Amino acid sequence: MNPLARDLVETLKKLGTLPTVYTKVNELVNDPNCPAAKLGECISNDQAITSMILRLVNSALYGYPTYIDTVTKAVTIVGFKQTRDLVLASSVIDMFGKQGDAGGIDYRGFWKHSIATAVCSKIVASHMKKCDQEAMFTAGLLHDIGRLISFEMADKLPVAELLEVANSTETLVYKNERKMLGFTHMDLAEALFCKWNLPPLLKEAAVYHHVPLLAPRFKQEACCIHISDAITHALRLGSSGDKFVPEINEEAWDLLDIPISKVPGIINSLKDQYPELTKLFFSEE
Amino acid sequence: MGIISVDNVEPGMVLAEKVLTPKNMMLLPEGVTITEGHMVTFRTWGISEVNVVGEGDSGGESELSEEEKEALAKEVTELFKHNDLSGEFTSKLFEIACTTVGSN
Repeated sequence: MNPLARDLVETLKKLGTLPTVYTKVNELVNDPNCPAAKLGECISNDQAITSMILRLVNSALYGYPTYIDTVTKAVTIVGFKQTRDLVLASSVIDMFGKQGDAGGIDYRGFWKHSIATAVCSKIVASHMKKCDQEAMFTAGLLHDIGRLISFEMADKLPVAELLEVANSTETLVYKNERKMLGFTHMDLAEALFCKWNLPPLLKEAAVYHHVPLLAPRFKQEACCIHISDAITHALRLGSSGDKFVPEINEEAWDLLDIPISKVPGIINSLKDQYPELTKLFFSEE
Repeated sequence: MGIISVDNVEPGMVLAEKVLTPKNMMLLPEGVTITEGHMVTFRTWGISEVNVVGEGDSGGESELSEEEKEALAKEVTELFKHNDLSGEFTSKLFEIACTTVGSN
């Protein structure tokens, strides 16, 4: 792990801890004897997360024919581990959803990019033989969180210069990071995920999204995020900070084992679901 | 023919390809005219998209004028400047991006 990135993440108060409900949910999910009702009850203690989970499972993302009105029902339909990942996604949405733009950083655009990648990753995962769709949704939502951390530290890091250099030389922002900051947004994400003690699958999928073939254990998952990130850049859904499509690794696409004829369908589904999900994210209920 | 999201399926459309469940069980053969009942079936089985007759996957393309298409192609070429367009996936994505107006 990059020591500079680790030290920086340690000083961040805002991202310091995940809500206690996530820790509790994680414990329950790891207990094979835990009934769905107990997990549902535990989540229901947190109103904001409960409301976000119900909105997610009742959105176009799932398209269930009837309304799911309790978290326990959601748990039985979506699954235990999957619910845990949705709790994480909801916690992060809750932490950042109401943040306005500040200091010249387009936070709204950043989250739109993250949501589009999350939605796309879930759709791509649904075409793969064996890939957890909820984990991919959450990993997609978090894949660029390292960029967010660097934006937050703009007073201590040369972030404005970083964006300016990429702009004037027409290069990719993430390729200049190591030289100008001493670490990349992947290093920051890794440090944060270690601090949050997230499962290795989520960690690898997000941390290796620019170099998916280097992921030690979860290559396919990292490839899923890599491809989804490229798709959202190509369709210009939100903005990550990079104005070009990142370098696409064709081998990553091959590894997903999805026929090329599925690409238009994947993109159509993304275009259908994206507006509803961004509305859900930014709405102040 | 074209693959469309089940959200956009309407009764009366005709399947261009058989519909399988995620576990590859046959739900409906090709050639079937879709009814309201089928749409509930798709949702129940978690089908996200189906291939129907007559729906092109480049439906929005014709709405653009030649000039707009040209401007879009230029914008997208710039967007892909760090990529080699010879790859199968990259070239497909490029092609679709050229028919999609950005919505930042």
